[in-house]
Amino acid sequence: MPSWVAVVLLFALAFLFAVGSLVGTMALKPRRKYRAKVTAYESGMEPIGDARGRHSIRFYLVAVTFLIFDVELLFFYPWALYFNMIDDRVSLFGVGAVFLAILATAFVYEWRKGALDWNR
Amino acid sequence: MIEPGDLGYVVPELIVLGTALTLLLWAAITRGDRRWMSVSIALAGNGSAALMLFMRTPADGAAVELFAGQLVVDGYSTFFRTLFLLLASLAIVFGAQRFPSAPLIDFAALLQFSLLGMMLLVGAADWATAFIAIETMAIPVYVLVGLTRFRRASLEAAMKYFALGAFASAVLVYGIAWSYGLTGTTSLAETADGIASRGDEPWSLFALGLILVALGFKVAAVPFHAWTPDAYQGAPTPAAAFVSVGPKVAAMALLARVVTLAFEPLAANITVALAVIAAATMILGNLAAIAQSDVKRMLGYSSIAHTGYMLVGVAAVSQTDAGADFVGVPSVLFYGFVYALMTFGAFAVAYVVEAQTDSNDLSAFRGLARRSMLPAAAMAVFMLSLTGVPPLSGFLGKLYILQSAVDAGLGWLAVTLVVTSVVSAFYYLRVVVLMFMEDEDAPAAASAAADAPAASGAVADAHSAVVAVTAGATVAFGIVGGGLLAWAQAAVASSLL
Amino acid sequence: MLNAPWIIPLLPLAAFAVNGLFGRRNPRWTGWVSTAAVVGSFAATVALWIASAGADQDESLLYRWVASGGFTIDIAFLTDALTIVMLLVVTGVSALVSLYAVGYMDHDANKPRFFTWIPLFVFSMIMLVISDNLLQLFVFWEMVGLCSYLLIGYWYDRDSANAAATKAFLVNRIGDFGFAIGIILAFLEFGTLRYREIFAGLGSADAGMVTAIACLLFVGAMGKSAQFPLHVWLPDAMEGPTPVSALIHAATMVTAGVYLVVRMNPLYTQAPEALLLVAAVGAFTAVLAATIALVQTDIKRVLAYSTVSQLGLMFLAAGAGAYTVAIFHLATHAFFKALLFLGSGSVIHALNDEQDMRRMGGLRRKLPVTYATFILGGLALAAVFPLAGFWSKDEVLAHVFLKAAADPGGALTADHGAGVFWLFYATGLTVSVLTAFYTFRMIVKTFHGAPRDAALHEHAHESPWVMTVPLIVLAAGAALSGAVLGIPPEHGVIHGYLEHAAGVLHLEGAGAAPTLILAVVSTVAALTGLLLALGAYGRGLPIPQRARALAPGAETLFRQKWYLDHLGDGFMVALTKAAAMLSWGFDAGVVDGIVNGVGKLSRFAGGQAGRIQTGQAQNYALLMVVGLVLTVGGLVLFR
Repeated sequence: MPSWVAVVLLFALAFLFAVGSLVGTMALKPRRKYRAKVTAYESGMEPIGDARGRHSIRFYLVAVTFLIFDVELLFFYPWALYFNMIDDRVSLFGVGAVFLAILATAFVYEWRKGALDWNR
Repeated sequence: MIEPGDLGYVVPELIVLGTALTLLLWAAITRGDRRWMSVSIALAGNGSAALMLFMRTPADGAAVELFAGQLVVDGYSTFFRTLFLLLASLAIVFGAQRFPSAPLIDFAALLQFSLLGMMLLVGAADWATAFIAIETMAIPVYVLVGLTRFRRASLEAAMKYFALGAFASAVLVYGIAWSYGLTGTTSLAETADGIASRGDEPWSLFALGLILVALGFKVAAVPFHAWTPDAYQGAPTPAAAFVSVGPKVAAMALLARVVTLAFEPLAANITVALAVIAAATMILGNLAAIAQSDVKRMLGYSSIAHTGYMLVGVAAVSQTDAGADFVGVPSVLFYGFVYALMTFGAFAVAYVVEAQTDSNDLSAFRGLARRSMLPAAAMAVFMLSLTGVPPLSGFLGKLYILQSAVDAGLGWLAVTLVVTSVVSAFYYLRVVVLMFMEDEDAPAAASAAADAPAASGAVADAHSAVVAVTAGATVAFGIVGGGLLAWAQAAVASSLL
Repeated sequence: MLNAPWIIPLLPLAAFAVNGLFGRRNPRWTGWVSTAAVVGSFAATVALWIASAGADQDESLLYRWVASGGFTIDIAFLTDALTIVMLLVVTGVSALVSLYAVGYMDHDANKPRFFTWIPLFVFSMIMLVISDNLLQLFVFWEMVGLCSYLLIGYWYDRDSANAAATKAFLVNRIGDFGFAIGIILAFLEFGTLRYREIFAGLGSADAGMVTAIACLLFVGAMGKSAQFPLHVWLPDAMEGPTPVSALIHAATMVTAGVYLVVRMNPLYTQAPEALLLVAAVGAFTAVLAATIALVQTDIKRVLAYSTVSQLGLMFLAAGAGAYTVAIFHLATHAFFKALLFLGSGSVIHALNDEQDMRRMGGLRRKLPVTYATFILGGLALAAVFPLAGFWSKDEVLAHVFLKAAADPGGALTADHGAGVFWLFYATGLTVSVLTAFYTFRMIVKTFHGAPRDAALHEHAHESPWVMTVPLIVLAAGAALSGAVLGIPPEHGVIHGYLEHAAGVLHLEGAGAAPTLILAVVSTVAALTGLLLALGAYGRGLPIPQRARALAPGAETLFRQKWYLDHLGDGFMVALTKAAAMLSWGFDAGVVDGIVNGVGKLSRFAGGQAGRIQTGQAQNYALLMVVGLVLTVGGLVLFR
C-alpha cells in the first residue's frame, strides 16, 4: 500500500464527515420557524436596519492601500533573511533602496492625491 | 546575483521605469496645467530609451541572457521594443488631445508602466519574468480603460476587462504550474527539453492548452475575445487605441516565443489547435464587425479578426526532417508592426470625428471628406490597408502570412484568410463610402467630449502628426515593406527561438 | 545617361505632382509644365532608342516590391524594340497633343485639373508599355483606364459627360474582368507573370490552357481597344475635350489592346484558335464601325467610329499572324488619327464648340492650315498612295490575302481556318472603300461648299500657333511615316527593327508582282470610295439616294448603329448591368453577394453572436471556460 493512501483516506473521511453532517442535519432537523429563530444573530443585540447597508468608499481605499503596502512589505522578509548570507551587500542594499524608493514614490503619490484624506 | 553588466542591457527599461516614477511624483507634487510637462517627460524618456536600445543591442546580433536566464536581449525583443516605444509615444500625444491636465499625467504614467511590462514581456526567457511582465503590462491597462471614471461605460468596461483578465491570469498561472510540475523548470528553453523527454503525453498538452487559452485571452482570440468590443467601446479613445495594439502585439510576441521555444516539441499539436482558433477568430471577428454601428466596437471586432490573421502566421509550421520549422514567425512580426500602426491611426481618426461630433457612431463619418479632408484621406488609407488592398502595408502583411500558410501546407486556412478578408472589405469600405460619397445629415454638432479640453493649436497639430505618421508609415511599409520584412527575419534569426 | 529608361516615366510623374500640388495657384504654367515634361520624355526615349541600337533587349529591375518565397512582384523595365516603338509613339504624340492643348484649353477655368491628369496618363501609359510582366501591365492598364475615366468626365457638369465616363468605365470592367482571370490563369499555368518566363514555359504548357489564357487576355484587349461588342464606350468617350480624344481615345490608350496581343505573340502563335478569334473580331468590328461612320453627323463621332474600324484592322493583322504589321499600322494610325482629331478640334475651337457637320461647310478659306493638314490626314486615313496609311494598310490586306491564298500546309496555313481569311480579305477591301468614303464625306461637308451657318462661319478664325504647329508636325508624320518606315514593303525600317520582338512573317512565295497587284487593288478600292464621296457630296450626284434605293433600310441600320445602342435599352444595358454585376461582382459584388448572404447569416449569426455578447462578464467567463474545455480537451483527445 503506497504511503499516500493514508492522506487520501484522511481527505475522504473529512469530506464525508462535512457532507454527512450537513445532509444529516438537513434530514433530521425539525422545521419550526419563529421570529427569533430567523433573525440574524449579532452578539445578542437586536439587529438594526438592513444587512446590505452602504459603507463609505474610503474604507475600500484604505483597505486596498493597506493591502498593497502590506504585501509589498512581504518582499522584505527574504531580502532581510539573505542579507547576511551574501557577500555583495552593497548591491543588495542598493536593490533594497531602489525598492523602497519605488514604494516611497507610490506613497507620495497616494498621499498627495488625497487617498489618505478621510474628510475630502 | 545581479551582474552589473546585465543592467547595461536593460537601460531602456530602466529609463521607461524612471519616466513612469517621475511622472507619478510630478503628478503628486505639482499643480496647474502639466500637460506639456507630462508629454515632454514621456517623449524624452521614450526617445532616449529608443536611442539606448540601439546603442546597447549586442553587436554581433546574438541573444544575450541576463539575470540568470530570466530575461533575454535579442533581435526579436529589440524589434518589438522599438515598436512599443513608438506606440507609447504616439499614445501619449494622442492622450494630450483627449485629457485635461490631471488625468493626462496619470494616463502618461500608466502608459509608461504598461510599456515597461510589454518591453520585459517580449524579452522574457522564464515563466516567472513572463508572468510578472504580463501583469505589469495588464494592470495599468485595466486602469487606462477606466480612466474616465465618471463615465459608466468606461467603468463597466474596466471592471469586465479586469475580472476576465484576472481569470485569464489564473489560468496562465495554473498552466505555468503544470509546466513546472512536469519539467521541473521555469526556464522557457529548458521547458522544451523537459517536454521533449516526456513525449506528447496528455499532461504536457494539458499545460500547453491552459497557456494557449490564457494568451488567447490577451490577444483576443475567439472564444476568449468577448471582453474586446466592450472594453474598446467603453475606454477613452486614446486608451482604446493603445490597448488594441500594444498589449495584443506583446502577448502575440510571447505566444510566438512560447510555442516556438518552450513547446517546440509539441509543434504538430500547436499547429492544429492554433489553426482552428485562428479560423474561428477570423470568421467570427469579421462577421461580427459587419453588424456594428459604433466605430470603436467595429474596430474592436476588426482587431479580433486581425488577431486571427496573426495566429495563422504562428500556426504556420512546416515539419521538416530536422524538426518543426516555424516559417510564419517573421510574417507575424511584420504583421504585428503594420497592424499596430494602422489600427492606432484608425483610432486617432475616430477621435477626430469624436471631437467634432461627440459621437462614435459610424454615421458621424458621413461626409467627413467635406469637413476635414486630411483625416478622411488618412482613414481611407487605414481602412484600405486593413482590408488588404495593394500597395498598402496591410496587403503585404497578408501576403506574407498567406505565403507562410501555404508553405506550411495550411491551404484551407489560407483560403479562410482570403475569404474573410473579402468579407472584411464590406465593413471597412463602408467607412470610406460614408466619408467620401455621402453628405452629412446635419451640420455636425461641434461639441467636443464634455471633459476634453478645447484642442489648442499645438496639441491639434501634434494629433495631426500622429495621424500623419501612422498613415505615412502604413503607405511607406506597403511600398518599401521589404526592408521591414528583412528586419523581422533578422530579428527572428538572431533570437532565442 | 543615354540608356536611362527610368527617366522616361519619371518626367511625366513629376509634372503630375507639380501640377497637382501647385497647379491651382499657377494655372497659366500647368500646360507648359506638362508639355515640357512629355517633350523631355520623348527626348529620353529617342536617346534610349539610339543607345539601344543593335541591342536585342534590355531588362532592368527598378524595384522588387514583394519577394516572398518563390513569389515576386517587380516593377521592372523591359526595353526591346517593340517597347521603344510604342514609347516613341506614345511620348511623341503626347508631346504634340499636350502642346496643342495649351492653346485648346486656354480659356478653360479648370485646366490645372486637365494638365494634372494628362501627365499622369502619359506616365501610366509609359509604365504599361515598358513593363516586363503582366501584373505591372495590368496595374497601369487600370491606371490609364482611370485617367481615361477622369478625362472623359472632365466637364463633370455635363450629364452626358458623366454618363459617358461611367459607360466607358463599366464596359472596360467587363474586359478587365476577363483580363484579370487570364492573368490569374497564366500565373497558375506558368508560375510567373514575366513575359520572358511565360514564353520560356510555353513549350511545356497545356494547349487548352494556353488558348484559354490567350482568349481571356484578348477579352481585356477588346475592352481597352473598343472591339465589338465592347466598342460602345469609345464613341461616347468623345464627350471629353478634343485633345483627350486625340491622345487617349485615338492614338495611344486604345492601342494598348493591340500592343498586348503583339507583346504576347509567342503565346498567341501557340493558340491558333485564339488568333482566329482575334482576326474575326477585328474584321467584323472594322466593317461594323466603318458603316456606322458613314452616317454620323458629329465630326468627332465620325473619327471615333473610324478609330474603332482601324483598330479592327490592326487586330485583323495580328490575327493573321502579322504582328509587326499590326504595330506598323498602329504607328502610322497614331499620326494621322491624332492629326485628324486635332484638326477637328481646331475646327470645333474655331466654331465655338460646334461639332455638328451639318452646321459647317466652306471653312477651307477660313482655316487654311487646318484644312491643308486635315486633307493630308484624310488621304492618309483613306490609304492613298504614297501617304502613311497606304503602306501600312496595304500590308495588312496583303497579309490577309496571302494567308488566305497560301498553300495548304505552308508556313502561313499552319494555323487553322486559313480559308475564312478570304472573307476577311473581302471585308478589308470593303472597309477600304468605306473608309475613303466617310473620310471625304467628312472633309467635303466641313471645308467645302457654302457655309451652312453664316453666324458661325463669320466668327471662325484660324487657331494660334501652339495648335497649328502640332498639326503641321503630325501632317508631316502622316505623309511620310509610312514611306520612311515601310519601304520597301516587308523589309522596311520597322520590319527590321521589330524582327526580334514581334517576329516578321515574310510573304513567302509572294513575289514582287502579286504584292504590286494587291497594292493596286487596295488603291483602287480607296480611290473608289474617295471618288464616290466627292461625287456625292462635292458634285451633288445622287449616289446616296441610289444607295438608299438599292439597299433600303441600310441607312437606318447604320444610323441606329446597327441597333447596338438600342440594344442599349435592352441588351447593352443588360450587358452593362451584367458588367456592373460582374465588375462589382468581382471587386465588391461577390462581397455584396456574400454580404447579402452574410446579411441574412450575420443577422442570424449576429443575433446568435449578440446572444453571446450579452454584456455580462459572467457569461464571457463562461464562454472562456467553454473555450478552455474545448481547447484543452481537443488538444488532449486529438493528439
